Amino acid sequence: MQAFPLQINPEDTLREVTEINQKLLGGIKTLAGLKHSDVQVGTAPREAVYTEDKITLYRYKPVVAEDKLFPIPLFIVYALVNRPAVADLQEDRSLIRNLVKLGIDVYLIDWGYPSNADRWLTLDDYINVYVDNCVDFIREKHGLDQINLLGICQGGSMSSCYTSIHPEKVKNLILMVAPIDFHASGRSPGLINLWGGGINPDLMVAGLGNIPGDLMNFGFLMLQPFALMVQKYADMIDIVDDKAKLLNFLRMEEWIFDSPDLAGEAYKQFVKDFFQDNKLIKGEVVIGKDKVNLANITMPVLNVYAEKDHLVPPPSSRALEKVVGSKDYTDMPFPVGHIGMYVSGKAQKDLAPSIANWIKARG
Amino acid sequence: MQKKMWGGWFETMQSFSSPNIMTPNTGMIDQWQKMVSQSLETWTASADPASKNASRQMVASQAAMMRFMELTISAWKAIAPKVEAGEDWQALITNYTEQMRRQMTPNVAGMNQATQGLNQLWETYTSQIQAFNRPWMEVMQVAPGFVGGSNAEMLDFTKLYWGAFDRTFGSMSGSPSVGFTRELEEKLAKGFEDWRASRQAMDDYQLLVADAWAGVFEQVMREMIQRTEQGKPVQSMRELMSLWTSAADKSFDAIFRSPEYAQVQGNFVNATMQYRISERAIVDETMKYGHFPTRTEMDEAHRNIYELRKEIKALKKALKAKA
Repeated sequence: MQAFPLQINPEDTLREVTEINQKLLGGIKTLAGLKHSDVQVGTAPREAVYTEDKITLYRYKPVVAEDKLFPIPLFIVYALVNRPAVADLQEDRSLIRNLVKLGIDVYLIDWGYPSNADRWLTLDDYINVYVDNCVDFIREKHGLDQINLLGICQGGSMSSCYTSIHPEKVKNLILMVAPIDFHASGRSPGLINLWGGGINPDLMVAGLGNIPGDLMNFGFLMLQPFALMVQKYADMIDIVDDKAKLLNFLRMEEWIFDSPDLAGEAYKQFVKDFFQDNKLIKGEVVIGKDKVNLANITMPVLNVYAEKDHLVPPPSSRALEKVVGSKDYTDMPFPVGHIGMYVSGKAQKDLAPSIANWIKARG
Repeated sequence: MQKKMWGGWFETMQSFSSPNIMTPNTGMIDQWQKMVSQSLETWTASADPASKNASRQMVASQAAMMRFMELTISAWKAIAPKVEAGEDWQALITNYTEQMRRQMTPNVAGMNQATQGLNQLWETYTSQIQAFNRPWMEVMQVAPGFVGGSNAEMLDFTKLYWGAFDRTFGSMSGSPSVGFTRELEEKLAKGFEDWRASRQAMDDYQLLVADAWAGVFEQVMREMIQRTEQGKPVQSMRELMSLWTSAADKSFDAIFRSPEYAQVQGNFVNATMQYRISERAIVDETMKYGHFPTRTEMDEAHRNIYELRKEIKALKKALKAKA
């Protein structure tokens, strides 16, 4: 006889509900006792070395002796969407700390939180002013002509633009989960790319000014609405009595929902030129007065991408190989998803050493 | 064969109906959620915001899990007797889903139909307009710059709105507006059109989502059958929840990837933004009336400051390069 599809014994259900209740109430008590400092992210020791408008350039405090420090600093440019703290979620889940431990002198630009007064900032301001001024600051401080640049996610697209405009200032370019060909889909086109085609960014910016971070977040949650809005929290019940796991979970929550608004004009240009018209790969993007030609990128390039990335499909990142002018180009796939690049065990173990070794091998 | 396959299920169904055994139902879930929410609010009153938010989500998800359980059981209760009577289960699930779809979609479509009358639409529109103006009005009433500072002016202003309606929609002939309220009238008229378009776009979007949601149910039912045929029936609420999540995200993903969805979602976002622009024009008028700077003026000021700042930065950089 075939079994009924729902083999849930009512008594078991009652037991399950009772267990859930017990765990839930215990979990709420634990959660209630937590302080904000318990779930703070981005806590690796660092010093603000340069500020301009709302941006801050941080230098992470080296943990190796000065003579062991790799002489060419690595400057990290993160996306305008979300906060760079994902690269330093906690002590044992931190790309930045891992790089610092390996003797890399790490700098990071923090874009801050744009307000209505920043609504007119363009990509030209972000790339040719803020990034360029930070690069110049680091070059001056270290007495170098060139530094290493690591662009993450949207920050990778921006770093590609920067490097093609100012190739003389970049020794090595490293990109991580960076979209380059916004229409490359492979087997699974990114939903963000599909959805981006239907919206009118001019109207959005005229209507909203800056684009609220919460709106962007909602868009990301809608990529997998049930898994991200229901199942994730239902599963949370399994970890509420394990404080370490619970704190890991909450730090990720802290990062996810700490979403700055996006400066209206910069958002508009990014959606139109990059998402909708795919101009970066075609060599048609113009930043300020400069046309972006990726063939200008002739220095060594390391392109790190996530094989299971649902936000930036691998073909979107890998497209760079065909258009850069570099003869020293390396693809480095990781068998993880977009966020797994920061938090997975595999990435924790291998990502920073892979980047550090690649940089050190190129002097 | 089919009858045999379903034969053993009725015993299980009967046990769910037994008065001695409690299974999740709407009343119980509501009561449970109320109790837990009270504890949550009491205990997390001074907790860290991230913890508090996660706690709320956790409670809501557990309640959702129970509701899915309730929904699934009631669906099977409705279907099972027909299967017992020898009907094809595949056709039954399709029909049941279709019924759900029909029940869900009129709710969305009906909203629009119910308010098709121009007057009724206008009434809804103005009540919304007044609602979003209210915080400003309240500020203005106590502000020293507000004319009179009493409710009388507020009433006059409200009358102005209604007067504008009479003068614009009372004669929808498209004749040019005249008089000192012309600008406001035009903005109200534009706002009304954009509001109506945004509602239509929202309805279209909700219809698509409701359709996807009905598809989720069908997918869950089919996957439950498949699992049973593979000898892996659902054995706990948690498993059922996972099944719902997997089915839902699959079903939504299929819809989300369709060109129709991109278009309907795009229309919804764009129409909402268009309305927001019109809404702002009306709010700007309100602000001007109360001697307050408007959002548009602030934007203009910000733009001037931004351009000046950019110029100064460029000059400083050029000077530094020359030095």
